[in-house]
Amino acid sequence: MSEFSSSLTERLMSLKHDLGKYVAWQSANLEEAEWREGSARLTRAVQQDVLGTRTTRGGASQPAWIVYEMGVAGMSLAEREQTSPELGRVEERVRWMQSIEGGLTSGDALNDRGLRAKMQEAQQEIRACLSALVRRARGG
Amino acid sequence: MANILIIDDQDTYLELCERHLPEHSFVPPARNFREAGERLRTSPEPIDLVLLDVHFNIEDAELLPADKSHLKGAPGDVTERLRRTQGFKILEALRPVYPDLPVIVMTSVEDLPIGLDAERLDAEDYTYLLDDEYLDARALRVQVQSILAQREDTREDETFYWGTTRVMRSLRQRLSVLARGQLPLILTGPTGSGKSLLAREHIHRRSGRSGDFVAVDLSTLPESLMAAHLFGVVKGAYTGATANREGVIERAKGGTLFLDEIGNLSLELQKSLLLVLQDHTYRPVGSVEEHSSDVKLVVATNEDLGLMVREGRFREDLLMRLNPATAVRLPSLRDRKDDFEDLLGYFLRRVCAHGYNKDLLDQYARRHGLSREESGIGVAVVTQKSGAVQDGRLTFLLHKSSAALLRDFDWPGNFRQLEMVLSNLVTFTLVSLVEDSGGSSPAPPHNPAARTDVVPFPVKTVVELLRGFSVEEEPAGEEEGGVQVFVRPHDTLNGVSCDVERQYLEHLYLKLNGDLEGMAALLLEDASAGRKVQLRMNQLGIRLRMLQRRVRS
Repeated sequence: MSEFSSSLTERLMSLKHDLGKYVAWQSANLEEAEWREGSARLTRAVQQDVLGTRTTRGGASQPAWIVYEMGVAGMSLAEREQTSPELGRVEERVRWMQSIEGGLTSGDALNDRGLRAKMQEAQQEIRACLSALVRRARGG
Repeated sequence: MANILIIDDQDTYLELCERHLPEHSFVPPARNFREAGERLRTSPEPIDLVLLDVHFNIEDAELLPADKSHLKGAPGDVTERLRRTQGFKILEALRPVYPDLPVIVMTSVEDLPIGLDAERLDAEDYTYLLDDEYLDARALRVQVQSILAQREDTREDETFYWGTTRVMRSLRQRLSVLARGQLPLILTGPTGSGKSLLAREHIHRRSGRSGDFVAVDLSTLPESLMAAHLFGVVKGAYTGATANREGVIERAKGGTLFLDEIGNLSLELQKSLLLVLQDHTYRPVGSVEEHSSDVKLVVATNEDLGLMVREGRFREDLLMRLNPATAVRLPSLRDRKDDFEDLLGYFLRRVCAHGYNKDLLDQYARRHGLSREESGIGVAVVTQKSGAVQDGRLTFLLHKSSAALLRDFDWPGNFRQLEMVLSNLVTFTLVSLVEDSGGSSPAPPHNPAARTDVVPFPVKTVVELLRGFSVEEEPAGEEEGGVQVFVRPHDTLNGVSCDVERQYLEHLYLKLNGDLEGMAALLLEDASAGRKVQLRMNQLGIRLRMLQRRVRS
């Protein structure tokens, strides 16, 4: 495996910060019981984390998939290969989140215990994959 | 409850912290360095802790550094890099002004931006990185509590008075960094400026070394015994060496060795000390075996070692090994007038905390039914200029002329001398109050000096204590305050007496910078009788306006 360029490493670190950190920012700090039972607070936290992962300088909220797309935009084929398989797993999870955007916006998706569990799993996997990828890029 | 400032371009930290750290109060968040400076300067309550984000998605104009022309790379890349590391730029800009403000940088070691000096950050006393990779609010809560508790401990344990000035805070931070590692350190400064105390309580404590702190004052050791004392001696090395005896280098192994008055070390022993620094080896007196040394060496002197080298009294190679570039000079008490009132409060609390003064305070408190705080009786200096008396807390009242006398005194013995004067001041003041069996009648509440929880220091006692330390005789003559007596034929006794009184009052007026209340406190033991003093001066024909002009000039 070839070494990561410093610019790619920096981009991955940014993606880890912007997406990996904030995609579960509020909701990761809620109790497990709240995830099991569901609550208005959990719904608000997940909505904020996934639908408003980052805020632009102009004040507009960006959902997780936009943050992801901006993070990987312009990445060469070689760089995509280099960041595989972690980034592939992240993309898969982000696309799943995008697929339930309507249910997330209304909050209905989070009334379903199975979907809540899948959301928690997706958030954790995005974090874990980006962490592992950055560690690998930094030679750790 | 702590007062916390969050420096973050978004509300993400604030929302999380307000939910998970509800016991603390959060000032409105700062979005950039400029706002952070404003919050820190203008917050009505001092900020106890700062939480600082690293990524700042803010406008170019608000990004540090203000001048970006010297930064290499395409403008877009430079800006992006600055945004990704802005938190560290903010930290760098805040530190010179707030060297001991605890700052949690909201990133883990693992997430530090590329090229950032993690070791330098780690060497800073008051900068903390997150323990966990992602923000776990519970872990953050534990970290915040531990930092605040540690800060309280540090405040309690601090035996060296650092004060509040920027110079001293920078010095403290510098010493905290220099304390680490094994590089030697030179402390200079006048006698009584706290070199030994600083070496023991600050440098050794922060050195991270597990061995003992061992101090040797080389000015008190006879030259013939110096080698044995420093390096140890083996049995039979000389007549009287009846057993092996270890030296201070051995006793300080793994710890800190403080050599005071290093200028007293003979040239021969300087060479041996050089080997300790250079090769970490030494030979006890009479031994052929080399021993290994492991000490952090701190030396102190009031002499100019550079001059001693030029005069051939100190080895240049040893001076170079002693790391002269990082030598730290401690200021004299004369140089610390900026926070003198705080300094008085600190030393008063210190002299009241132990021994006879503490007993006197206890007796006084019992006699007047004053409550006793857990940590002892509270002591505060309140000058009439500076502040209000706090109910229920024993407060020493220092008249502004006394404060001025103490501040303007030369203090050749520095902090040691100040401590002695204040200790005597407390003793003399309290002894007379405790022994005064007449007790005190309830006083009108508006007069702080007459309350039992307020103990005024008599100006007279301050003057007498300082006079006891005067080394030089005051030159005679009117300008310097000497009183001259001229008796001419036909002069009445009253006339001569008035002349002496006039000269004395003029001198006192000048000495106390025109403070009539201070004069009244000194002469009549009643600071409110300034008007009486003024009337008497008028009666004696003293031209107050002329004196006022002299005071102003």
